Amino acid sequence: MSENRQWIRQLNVILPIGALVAILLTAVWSFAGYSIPNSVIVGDIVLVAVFFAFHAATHGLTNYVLKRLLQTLFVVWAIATLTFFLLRTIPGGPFDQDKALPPEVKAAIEAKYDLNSPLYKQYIQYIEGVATGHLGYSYKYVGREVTDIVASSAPASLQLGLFAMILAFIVGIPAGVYAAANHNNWKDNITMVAATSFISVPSFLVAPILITIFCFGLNWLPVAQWDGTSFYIMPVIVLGLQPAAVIARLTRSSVLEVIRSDFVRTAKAKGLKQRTILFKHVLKNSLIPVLSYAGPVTAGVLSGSFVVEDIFNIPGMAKHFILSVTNRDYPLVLGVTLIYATLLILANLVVDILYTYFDPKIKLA
Amino acid sequence: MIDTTAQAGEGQNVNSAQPVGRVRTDGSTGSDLVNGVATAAVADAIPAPAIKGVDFLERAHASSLWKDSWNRLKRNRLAFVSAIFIGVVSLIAIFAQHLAPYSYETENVNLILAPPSWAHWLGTDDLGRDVLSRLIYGSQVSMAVGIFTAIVSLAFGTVYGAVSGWLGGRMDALMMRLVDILDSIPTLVLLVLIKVMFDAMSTNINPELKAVAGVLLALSVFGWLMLARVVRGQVLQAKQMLYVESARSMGASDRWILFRHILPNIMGPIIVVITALIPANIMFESFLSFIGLGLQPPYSSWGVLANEGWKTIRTYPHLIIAPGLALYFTMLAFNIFGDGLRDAWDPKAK
Repeated sequence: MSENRQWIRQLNVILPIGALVAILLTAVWSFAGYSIPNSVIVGDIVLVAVFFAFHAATHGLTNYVLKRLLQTLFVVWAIATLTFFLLRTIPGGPFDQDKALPPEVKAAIEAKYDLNSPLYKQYIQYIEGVATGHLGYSYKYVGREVTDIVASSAPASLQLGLFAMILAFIVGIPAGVYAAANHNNWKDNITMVAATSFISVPSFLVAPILITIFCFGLNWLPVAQWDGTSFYIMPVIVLGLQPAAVIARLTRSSVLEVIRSDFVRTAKAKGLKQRTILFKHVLKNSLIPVLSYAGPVTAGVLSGSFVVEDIFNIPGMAKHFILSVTNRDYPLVLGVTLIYATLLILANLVVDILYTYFDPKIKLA
Repeated sequence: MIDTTAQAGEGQNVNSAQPVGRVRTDGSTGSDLVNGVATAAVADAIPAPAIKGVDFLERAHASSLWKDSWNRLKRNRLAFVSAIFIGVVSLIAIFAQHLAPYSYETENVNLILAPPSWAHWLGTDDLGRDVLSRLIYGSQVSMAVGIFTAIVSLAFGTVYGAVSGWLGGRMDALMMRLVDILDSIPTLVLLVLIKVMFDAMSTNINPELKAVAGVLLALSVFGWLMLARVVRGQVLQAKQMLYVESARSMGASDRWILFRHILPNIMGPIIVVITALIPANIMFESFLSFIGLGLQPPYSSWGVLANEGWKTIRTYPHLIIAPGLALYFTMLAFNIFGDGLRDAWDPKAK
């Protein structure tokens, strides 16, 4: 029995580290400008899924996770319904143009996209499509399926988001620890002033400044597009800056709180080295609240990517969303909304489960 | 009224570490004794930890929570400067018509993309419009967005959250599920959907109003979500407190307890959320306008200006830097002021 326990405990450490390393390696590989084979992405996802399944199974969370997944389905359905009716009740169709189309042409188009059948029929058809992974045909890009457009634009968005989040964490956490370690002296103050500053700065101020310096001035980086390492640097910095600043502030206050706790005083009393205390006792405990911010970070990065993709002309989902709204390309709007919402919900689920991993005291029900 | 607040203030200060009930049980044997001999001078002489938990002693020389917070806020110089800055920007927005040297839409074809000069301090844009005037008018939109959405969120989110937390049980679960659903649509996507719908449906509104109203409506629809969550959590906590029980035992109605006892006591967290909400909404408006889905030219907002400035970034970078800086300083002021407010309210959090 105890041997069995040991084995579980070891796997519980090896699996998440393995998954994390795999994801980071994939990110680095991708950042270096190589295109990632699908098999590697699937492999990463499987690794994460295996870890979650194992963690859930060994910690009695299976029911909870299944319940949450069912809830996710429900929420996705609710969002699909909500957006469907929101968009269909808007007066003025996608094919209203300044120059009126001949009635026959208009009728033919509307028949093709099935816009004349009763609303409930359209709705049922749409939900059926969502369930089977077909999101209908785009109005604007004639003959292209929405799923197809999303699939071709998702990689750029996912890359951008992933890079920005990694940047946010690897800059934010050390900065926060640094500030806390120098609590209330000028190093702390400078770090925090910078953080508040970066939280307040709009991306359309950072971007022009960076572009003016590194593109027009030094001629080091390309202005726009999304084709390789040199293209990735500026958008990722612009997108990751604000979450990094928020994480730095969170880490700082969380570290400060932990430093004042009894077990740290005990560790000091035992005469442990400053460094050991910081890394072994303080950091581990203070990262839990920071981790819980990963959900909002995802949401923030999603929203921020609209502006960043627009600024740097990155062919991602946000760009398509903006265009599809101005074009009244309803199927595309619906499709992108659904994808974004699903991503966000899954991110929150992942964070909740990770939470129980890092803090066994938390009980999910 | 003041008395309830003061009492709750203490309840709030201790509630994370120890429930209010603890104060009573701790002090129940010793307190009467201490009560007999204690004066304010004695209380001052005893080191703080020793009298912790004996709440009447603290009250003997304590001012109200609001007064304390105000004093702490006044001492925070950075927050004070920020408040002044916000005041100045608000004044600029209110008196935009009188301050702006030109109109926001008058085009001057003879002066296209003029560099800064005495007549046009920030130069003119690609249609010959005065950039400084457009910047000044743009502040109106930002301030309107900030204040309007804050009021709507305050009214709706507080009531929604309070009712949800107060009712509890199934109704609470249902109401919170709706919040969850709205919350899981990425904010900007939801904003755009609502804005588009509003613009399409309201065809016979005066165009100047319509330009802003869609954005305001969209931001109000999602702004209350976070507030509803916070208020609900606070109400759930406050429901367990003794002052609620005592109010109920005296026969107060649900509505009376909720709005006259609980809400004034949880005003602190509400104000903190609102001060965080205002800059977030101002930022969202600029984002929306920047990507071309918010306010449309010729109307001016800082996002619209940035969008227009973007076209000429290579040759005239000041056209995008100027609205960017305006937004940046306003955000900074709101954030620093918000931090100061939070620290003033909850000194432990610092």
